[in-house]
Amino acid sequence: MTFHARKSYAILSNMESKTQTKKAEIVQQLQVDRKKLLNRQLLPAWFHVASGILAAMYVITPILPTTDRSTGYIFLLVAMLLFVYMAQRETGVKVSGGGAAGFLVLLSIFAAVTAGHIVTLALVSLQLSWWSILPAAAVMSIVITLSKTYEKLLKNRIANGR
Amino acid sequence: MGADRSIDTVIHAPMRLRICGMLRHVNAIDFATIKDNLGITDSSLSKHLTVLADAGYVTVKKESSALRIDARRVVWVKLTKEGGRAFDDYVKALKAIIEDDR
Repeated sequence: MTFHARKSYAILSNMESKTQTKKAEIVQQLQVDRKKLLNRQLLPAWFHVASGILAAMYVITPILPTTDRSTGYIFLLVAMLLFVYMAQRETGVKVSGGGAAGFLVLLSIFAAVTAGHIVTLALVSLQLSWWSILPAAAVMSIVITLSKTYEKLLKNRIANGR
Repeated sequence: MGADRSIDTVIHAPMRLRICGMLRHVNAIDFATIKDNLGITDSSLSKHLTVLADAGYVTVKKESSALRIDARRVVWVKLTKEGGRAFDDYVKALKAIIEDDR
């Protein structure tokens, strides 16, 4: 226990105005507040789908002419930032990082998107551009699932007090 | 009570403790969301936030909202490191007392 915690302990334990029940009620109320926060959506449902669509769009960018690709990348980056901003505004909550597990989920998203992009590049070089719809669809479903997993992780961290 | 004078009166108020408790587990929360969760009025929440901000326990950041048709600002409230420490110490002490009395 830190010095401040010890000081608070000494003072609180001597307080006559706060009965034992009241102290327990305060702690219970903090847990109720935490549950209320957990019942809210930390990320709106559309955000998962939108992230999946953006990831799929990134995967199929190799089918665009080389000159148009950088515009496409910038558009996707701006769209992603805008979606994050809109999601925070909608839920009223800015969440912090999901810890090691959250980092792994984000890394998995990155790996899936990169792998999908590489597969599409290979398909385009083999002049099988239409087949790039398959990796794009696969990446979209993976990203939607992982995005939902990330939200669950964030909720677990809040439930466990980080 | 003489000892009471040295207690952290900022966080000792139940509503302010609850505000810190909500903020403890996230990066920041919108003013309206805190108000909804606590079920208090705008003015009451503003007063509590002013006390917490003056003590350096929270930061209040206003952002203009292009997404809202009434162009009102969105107010983000964030717990500072000092606020987090004060909250943790207070709750730790509270829980220890409850445990000791059992």
